[in-house]
Amino acid sequence: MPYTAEISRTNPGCFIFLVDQSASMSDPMVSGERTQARAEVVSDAINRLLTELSVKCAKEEGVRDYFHVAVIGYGHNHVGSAFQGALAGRDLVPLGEVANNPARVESRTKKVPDGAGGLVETSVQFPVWMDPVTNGGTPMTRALGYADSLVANWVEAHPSGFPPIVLNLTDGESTDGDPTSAAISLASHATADGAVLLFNLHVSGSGGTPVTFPDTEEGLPDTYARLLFQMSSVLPSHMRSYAASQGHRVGETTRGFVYNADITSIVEFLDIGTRATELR
Amino acid sequence: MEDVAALLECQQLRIHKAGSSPEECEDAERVWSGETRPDGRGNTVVPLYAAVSDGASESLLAGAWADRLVADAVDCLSGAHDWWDDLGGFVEELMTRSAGRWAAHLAQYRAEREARGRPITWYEQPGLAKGAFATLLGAEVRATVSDTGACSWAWHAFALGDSCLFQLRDGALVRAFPVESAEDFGVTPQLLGSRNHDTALVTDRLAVAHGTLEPGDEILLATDALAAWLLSPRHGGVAPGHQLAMVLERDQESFPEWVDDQRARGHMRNDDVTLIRMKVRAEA
Repeated sequence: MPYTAEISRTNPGCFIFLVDQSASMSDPMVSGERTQARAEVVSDAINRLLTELSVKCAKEEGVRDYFHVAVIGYGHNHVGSAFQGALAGRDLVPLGEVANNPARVESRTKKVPDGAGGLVETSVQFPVWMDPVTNGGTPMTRALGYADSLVANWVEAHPSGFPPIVLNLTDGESTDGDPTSAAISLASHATADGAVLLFNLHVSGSGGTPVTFPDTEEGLPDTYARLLFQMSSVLPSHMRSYAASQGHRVGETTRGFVYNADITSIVEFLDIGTRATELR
Repeated sequence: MEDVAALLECQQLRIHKAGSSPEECEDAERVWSGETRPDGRGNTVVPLYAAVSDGASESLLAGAWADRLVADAVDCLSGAHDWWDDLGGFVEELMTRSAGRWAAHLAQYRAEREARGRPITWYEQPGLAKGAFATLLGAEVRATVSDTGACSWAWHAFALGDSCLFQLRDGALVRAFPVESAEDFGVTPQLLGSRNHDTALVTDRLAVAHGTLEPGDEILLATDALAAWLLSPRHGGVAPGHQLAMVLERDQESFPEWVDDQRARGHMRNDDVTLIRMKVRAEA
């Protein structure tokens, strides 16, 4: 059965994040109750994804290298590592090293239940690996090509491992041509366990209802959203099960595409062993 | 009565996941020979208590929590005679010991980390706040000797999660508890959390089973990877118990070698493997 390969330190997974850093990402979008620049939404998403992944793989002796992670930015004259701080310039980095080297750790406030039915503000540590960057065009085709090279090398070195996952976070307005064929080429790489999974988070100013893991492009607000939906891989069956358990309506054609909504939950789609769940 | 106790052979084995170190194993097991006692009906009871626990990979300090649980489980089993008659009281005692003392264990762990110059990091904090999680399977194998010297054997077990008990006769499965099918293993078994103080919920979710044993029967307590192997149909026409017995009765190295081979063939999931094997001697 595909997409069932063990993910462990001896058989690590590969996670590549592609981050749109073009000028249009400075435009605002409605995010929950706030209006934020798209670039800010995307950098927050990356920092939270890396945090969630680190927490998921944390054990007493540190974060285990169950994944190797790359954060690739694409914008004006640049496609390459978007890590800041000690990891600047690096492509695929073992997760333990990622966790131990955020550019900085901020203190943010968060509302948590007070145990008496109300909420109370508490301070939480928020590691930051990248800040918002907005500059120039959107070379999405080149970015997918960059990921293609990383993925090709990874698949050659890990021919029977869990296939690489590529998550593209963008407003969808590619300025170096239609990215479709680059996306098809990227998703055509495969290990014995299955083809590369390409997922997309679309941050858009077009408004409309946020959409999470749709099975059809009907109802998506514009051509960019539809294009990114078409580029996105169909979710493997175990990921569909997790999406369903999170309350999403899923079918056999549900794709790894999210429009103006939170995508951090995909970290929960990854199986690294028995999950820590409370008795119900 | 010591002769009766000698009629029950017992083996304990634990193999860590390939790619991990032995110290990283998050399974735990414990066996305890209880005291011989009268049962109030003119018979003498000779008990053996056993427990296995499988710490959840995605929780921190899962191995330490599993160790705590098996120790507390055999203590509680040996402290209460027919423990299943008052399951609520039994669970309360178990949770008071285990979950009740975990806060102190955690405080000590944090202090040790501080003392070693390695305080808790941001990526450990959420896991420690959430608590440690593990399955728990406890069993008592009991010989009851009447005043005429006739000896009967029985087992009584409780389970939360997918660590399993098997009863084998002539190498074939007679009973599997609580999971009965290889398809029912997954990554979200029921678990006992170190922050769970809901005795009523745990009592409600705890499965209990009983059985009687014949001379020559075996009881196996196994964590999920081996349990799934025992329940899988792929045994090439040889009873699973016979295959296992051949390995276990050879020498000490045979079991780890056999586990490696089964993993390499794709017949057993790569995970920590723990087994307690108890066999009522044929002459019993």
